[in-house]
Amino acid sequence: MGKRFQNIARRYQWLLMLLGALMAAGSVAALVLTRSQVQQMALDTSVKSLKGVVREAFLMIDQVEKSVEKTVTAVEQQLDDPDAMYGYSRQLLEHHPYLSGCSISFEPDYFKSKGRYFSAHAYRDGDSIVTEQEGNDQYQYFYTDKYLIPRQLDKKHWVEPFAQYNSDGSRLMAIMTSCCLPLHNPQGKVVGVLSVDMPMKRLSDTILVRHPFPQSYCMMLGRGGAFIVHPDSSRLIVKSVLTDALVEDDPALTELGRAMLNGETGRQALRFDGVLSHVFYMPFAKTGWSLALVCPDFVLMKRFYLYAWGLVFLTIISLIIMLTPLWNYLQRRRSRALTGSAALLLMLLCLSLGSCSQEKAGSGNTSGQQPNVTNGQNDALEIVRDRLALLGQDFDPNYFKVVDSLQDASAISAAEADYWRANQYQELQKTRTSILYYKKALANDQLKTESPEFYYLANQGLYTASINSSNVQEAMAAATRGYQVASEDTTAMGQKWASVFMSAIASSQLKLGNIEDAEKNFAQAREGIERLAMAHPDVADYQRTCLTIASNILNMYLNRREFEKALPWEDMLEQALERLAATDAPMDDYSTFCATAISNKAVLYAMTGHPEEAEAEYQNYLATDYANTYSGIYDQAYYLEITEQWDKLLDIQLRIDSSEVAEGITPSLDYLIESPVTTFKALEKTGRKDEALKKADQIIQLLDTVKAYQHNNDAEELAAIFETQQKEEQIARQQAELSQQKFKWFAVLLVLLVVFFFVYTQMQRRAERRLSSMKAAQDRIEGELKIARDIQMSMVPHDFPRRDGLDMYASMTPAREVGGDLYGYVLQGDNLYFAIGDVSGKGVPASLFMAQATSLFRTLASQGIAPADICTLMNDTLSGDNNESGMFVTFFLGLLNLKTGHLSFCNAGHNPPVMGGDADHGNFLQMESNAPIGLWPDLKYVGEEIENVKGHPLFIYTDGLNEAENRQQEQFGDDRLLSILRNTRFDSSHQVIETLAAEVEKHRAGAEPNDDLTMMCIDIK
Amino acid sequence: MKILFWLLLALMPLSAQAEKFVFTTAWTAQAQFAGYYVAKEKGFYSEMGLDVVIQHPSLTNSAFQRLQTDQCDAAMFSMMSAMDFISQGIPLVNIFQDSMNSSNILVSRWNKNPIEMKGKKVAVFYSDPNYLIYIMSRKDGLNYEWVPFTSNINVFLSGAVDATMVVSYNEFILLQQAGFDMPEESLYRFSDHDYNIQENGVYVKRDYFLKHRNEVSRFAIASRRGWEWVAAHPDEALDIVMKYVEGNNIPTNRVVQKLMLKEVLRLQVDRESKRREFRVRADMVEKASQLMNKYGMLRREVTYSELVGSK
Repeated sequence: MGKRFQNIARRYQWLLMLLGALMAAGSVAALVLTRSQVQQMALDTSVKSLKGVVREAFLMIDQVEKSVEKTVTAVEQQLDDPDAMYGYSRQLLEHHPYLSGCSISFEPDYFKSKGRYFSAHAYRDGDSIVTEQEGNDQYQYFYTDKYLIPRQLDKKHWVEPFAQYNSDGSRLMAIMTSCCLPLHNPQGKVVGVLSVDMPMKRLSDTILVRHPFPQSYCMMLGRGGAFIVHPDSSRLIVKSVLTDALVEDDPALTELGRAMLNGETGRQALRFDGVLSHVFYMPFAKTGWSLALVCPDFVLMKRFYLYAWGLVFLTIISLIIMLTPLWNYLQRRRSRALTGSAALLLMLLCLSLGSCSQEKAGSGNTSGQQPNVTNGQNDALEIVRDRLALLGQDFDPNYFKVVDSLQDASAISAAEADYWRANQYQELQKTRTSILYYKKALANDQLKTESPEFYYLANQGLYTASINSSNVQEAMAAATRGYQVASEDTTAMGQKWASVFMSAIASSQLKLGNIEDAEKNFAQAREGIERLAMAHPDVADYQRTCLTIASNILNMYLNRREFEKALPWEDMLEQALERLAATDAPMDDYSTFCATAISNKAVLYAMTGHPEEAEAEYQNYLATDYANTYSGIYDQAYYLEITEQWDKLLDIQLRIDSSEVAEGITPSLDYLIESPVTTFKALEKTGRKDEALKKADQIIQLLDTVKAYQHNNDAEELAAIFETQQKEEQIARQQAELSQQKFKWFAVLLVLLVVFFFVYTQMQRRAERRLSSMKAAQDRIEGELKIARDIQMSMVPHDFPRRDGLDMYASMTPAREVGGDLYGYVLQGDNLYFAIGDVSGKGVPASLFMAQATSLFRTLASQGIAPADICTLMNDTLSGDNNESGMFVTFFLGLLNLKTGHLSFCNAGHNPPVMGGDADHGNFLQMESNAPIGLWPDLKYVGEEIENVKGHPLFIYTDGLNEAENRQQEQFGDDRLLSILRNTRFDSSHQVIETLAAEVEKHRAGAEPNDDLTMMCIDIK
Repeated sequence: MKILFWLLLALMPLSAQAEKFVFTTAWTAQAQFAGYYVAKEKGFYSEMGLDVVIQHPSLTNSAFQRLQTDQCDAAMFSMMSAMDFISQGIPLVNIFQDSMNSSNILVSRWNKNPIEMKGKKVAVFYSDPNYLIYIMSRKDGLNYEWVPFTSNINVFLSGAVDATMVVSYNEFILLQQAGFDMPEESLYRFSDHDYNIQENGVYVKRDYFLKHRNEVSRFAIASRRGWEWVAAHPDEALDIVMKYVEGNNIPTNRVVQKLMLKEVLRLQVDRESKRREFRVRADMVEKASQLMNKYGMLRREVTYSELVGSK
């Protein structure tokens, strides 16, 4: 059948191709036609459905309007009786249970007797209807939508739906709308508005229940595009159809929204709420709202999809029919080009897959490059440092002891300890001591290497301390040193400190009068720190550094009264403040900088011709917490001085004096210049000449005090330094002594170690020599044993007599190098002597005894003596005085006549041989047992005979066979031996020996042999 | 002498127990007040030792009424309103200025330049008088018919008026959301016509100000930080705004609030300094005072120093 079809296909291939093409074209055409037809049907159904919804909703709205219109007519005929209005509003609610409220409101002062407001309002309270006058100063109803709009339009108006909450606003009660009609007096003038409130639920339920397809739905939009009816209640009122289009460019949605809001009728295909849909819309004429039916395309075209599956299947069949001849043609041609293209395509696919997997692998590696490493030790150290800083802030008297302890315990290095000491001395205003320790901390590269941050801090501290002691050169050197290291430090910390040091260098330059370089370096510092701060907007520390640098530069310019130059730095400060606000910095930091910014602004306003704003900012500054801090008061004084508010300045100067006393400021030359002199100036400017003169006197006196204090202070500090140095020298001495003692102990230890090493080496050498000689002896013994083994093995025969009817084979495997087993034979004519023996013990003694026994056997057998006599003679030779070691040998000796098969034998305490050829295919030979040879002298051995052993193979062995042990020390056993011999068919004696040797090996399973193994098998026919 | 910082910050003592500070915003919960919500939610107020309670006014209880009746310590309203109140003998002091520019726009309904709509009906906010449009109308002899309304854009959309006053951060966005076509020629932006006068700020009564200068200073600093945080993290700030909006059942959505926040932040940037300054500008006060005086809206001149409490 298949072949027939193939033949037909081959014969009419081009006709088939044409048929396929026609079918495909037909299928596609049918697909297109069906689609448009199904779509048209669905659209018709949708439109019809929408019209139905509109009609039904219209009836509901119309019902409300008619009732309101009817009441309006009645009200307008009784405009002279305001109290009648309550009856009308109540009546409306009584007749229309779906209404929730009614207001008949009038223009302000319409009824003279009722005052400005009159609105007869009725509402439902449970099952009853309550009326009230609702207008008052707090609720001026004439400004609300439901009064204002119909009043202005002078026509009926439906208010945009709104949410009504319960009295405390915590719960949504309903979405409401109001139908409002203006009231006219007989002259046609609008005198009020009648409005009824209607919950949207009834209308909403009517609309939502109607939809032509399962997943389609209706929605209604208000005039502002808000969803006022929608199956998703969370959108009601809050969201508009155009909301998403406000932030996303969606022309289709915008077009739909605008068309609906313009009151148009139509339909639009678009992606609505993420689903390809058709939206049918038409205005809801009486209200100004718009109603729409949303039908997802997959719902509209559901029927089409059913047809489409069938048509697609048909199209595929058609294409197969059409392409079959082409396929055959290509198959025949076996186009290389096609194959080449396919190969190329495959290769490209492989390459793309390969690159994808490489990318994946790469990304995996990247993510794996950041192992989460925790360092508990560092964390602990950080805690210690934080704690130390807190102790310092609190001026804890134990601070220095703690630092010493930490250094002694090696928790912090000596350099870091010096930094902490310096820092605290700086806090204590012991500037010289702090400089001393800063220098010690920086004396070598230890700090730089182990903790760059402390290196920077130490340089910063040295800079500040030097500036405070007016040593600008020293300060500049510290800043420069810090900058050199920081500028090569590519970390963020390094970048930060480079800017800090650069601004410090510039500050020093400014102090030294090198203005041009200072300005250039200030700009460089700003650029560096702002770049860092902007690159890490969330790092508060960088923003804080920005602020600090800006503040300091700004303050320097303000101190120099260079206000124009200060302006850019105020700008920098403000920008940094904005960035700091956006970080997680505590408010303390932010508010401090904020206060300084306000203070600076006050100064700048004052100096740029904005006195009012300056004063306002100053007042704002005064209200801050910072303004009343020690530093903040200086800013107050500064502002008052530059704005020449001498009275206030005098007041503040007195506060500064008391603050300085409170802070324990030591009288210095700077203090003299800044504080009392400013006070003098303020006194002088405020016209208090006498007090000013008194102050001048005080200043002169103070100068002496300052000198004396400075001298005392210097002396005190120098004494402290001297004491410190002495203490350090003492510590150094103690350390030297300690080191000396340590050295002594070390030397003793070293000597002991050397002695020990020498003794150990000697002993080691001796042991090695002994070992070496033992090894040599062992090698020699092993060599000798090997020779002995060769000798022993040469003593037993390896060739066996080759005679017709005789099949003989034997083997011996010593457990050690040499063994105590033996076997042998002597052939004399037709008589074959054979023997097998097992010497007691193992090793060399046994082998020597074996050699003796073997030799005796050979000698006596060659004399034609009977087996029992041979045994008696061997026993005589080997026992008694000749056998001091008490060794013996179990021995089986047989004499076999090869012709007759007659066997005479003597068994001297040896294992019973197995004789085959019986009904059981083998049994142990039952015989007399003599004592082993060599045990006791003067014994007479008894022999036995078997008439004919032809056809009865004889298997003789030592106990190395049946007592062979495996690792579990389980013996091979007599039963297994007998079983193997009985159940195995052997072709030769050799095969018997080999088979049993293999079985023994198998049984041992790798265990070392526990005894010599010797076997012999003789079979005569 | 100014003291240099050199990385050392002075520690400031803060009150151990937070002081209660009740603040009423200018309107119901919306992104216009994001900075205050953020300052509250991020703990900036509490870090400054203040327990700030944020209230919103209602139709029947405005921010001014609340301040006047001591229901709150501080309230928010426009600078011109504050000047009006001061001139009426209600001493108020600005403690924090929210806006640096005018947000007022007059939108015409007929795609016409509002300035050419002489005698037409113009909807104006009832609750917050639009002094500028009264001034403009009188100055240019436009003789508009005023239609006071409460809120929203419904009066305008219904066709009851020919033009309406809107603020750029609220009703203007609602009109966009309503698909209302607003070509630029139909808009009169007061900020572009020499009427760029600052609007909302936070005010306290003068006697409160004198007694609680430190508290208001702390409120101002924390509010400023709140706004700067909002500017740096608008999306997170919007989350906080939506929490307040939803908590107060305000019928709005995230998109509208997002656009509002963007516009409010824009209005906070001073046109000259290009930065958020949070201060009352003396020149704007002077200008407002002159205009309001000239057109009879002030009983007496109100000075900058008076407004900011420096005198």
